[in-house]
Amino acid sequence: MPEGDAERGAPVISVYNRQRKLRPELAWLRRFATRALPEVLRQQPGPGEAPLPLLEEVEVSLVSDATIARLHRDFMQIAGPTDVITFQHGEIVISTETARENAGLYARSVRDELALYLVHGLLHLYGYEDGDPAEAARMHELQESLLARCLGLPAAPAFDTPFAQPTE
Amino acid sequence: MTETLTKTETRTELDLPWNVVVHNDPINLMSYVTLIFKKVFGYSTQKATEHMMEVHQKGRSILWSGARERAELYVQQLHAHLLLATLERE
Repeated sequence: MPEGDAERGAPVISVYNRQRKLRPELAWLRRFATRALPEVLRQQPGPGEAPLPLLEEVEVSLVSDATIARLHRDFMQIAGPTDVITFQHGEIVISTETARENAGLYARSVRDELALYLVHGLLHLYGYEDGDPAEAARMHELQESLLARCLGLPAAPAFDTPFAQPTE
Repeated sequence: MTETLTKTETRTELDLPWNVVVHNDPINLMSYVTLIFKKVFGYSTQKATEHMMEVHQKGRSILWSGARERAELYVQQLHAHLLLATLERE
């Protein structure tokens, strides 16, 4: 373990709402974030750059599709909105509108979908990458199990949830 | 023997640099602030990020120091990007 790590506390994590498209459960998300951060730090770091343990602060911002689309274009040269963008300086930007859309697709609540993106961002800051399919699959599996653990649920199956039939 | 002494005094006050200061605000995203610093001052990602973190953690950062006219122009450009920027003198 690098010197100083033992004394250094975990980063502070804050969640801010910077959009008006939907009303997020901010207090719940903040509680979730403080539960998820130590869970992530308990894992082995991923193969990439992992600034998370050294950061003083992680700032999570909930934004609109328009805002995340602008970041997507300006930082990654990709047009259109996306779910979550993570910056190595400790910033996780999440679109509430994309979360609402994907929540419908994956039969999850919007709240849990937002929580999933938060875990995804934390894993990026902890060296996990989703550039190639093998890495993406590993990251996907880990984020689902971490999400389930932090929500106090059994891990959801990875891909078949959206096609699950109602049981009635 | 007669000696003539010529004394010249220069007021150095006029030459003091003007500082372009950016203050923390609750609106702008950290990433966006970094991008503006790169755009306005031509700073590298690393330098722009360092200034952004200083603003974020200490509440303010001096982005540039120098002649008044140029400093004013920078402040105007920062305002155009909706950042909280002021001109200060040391």
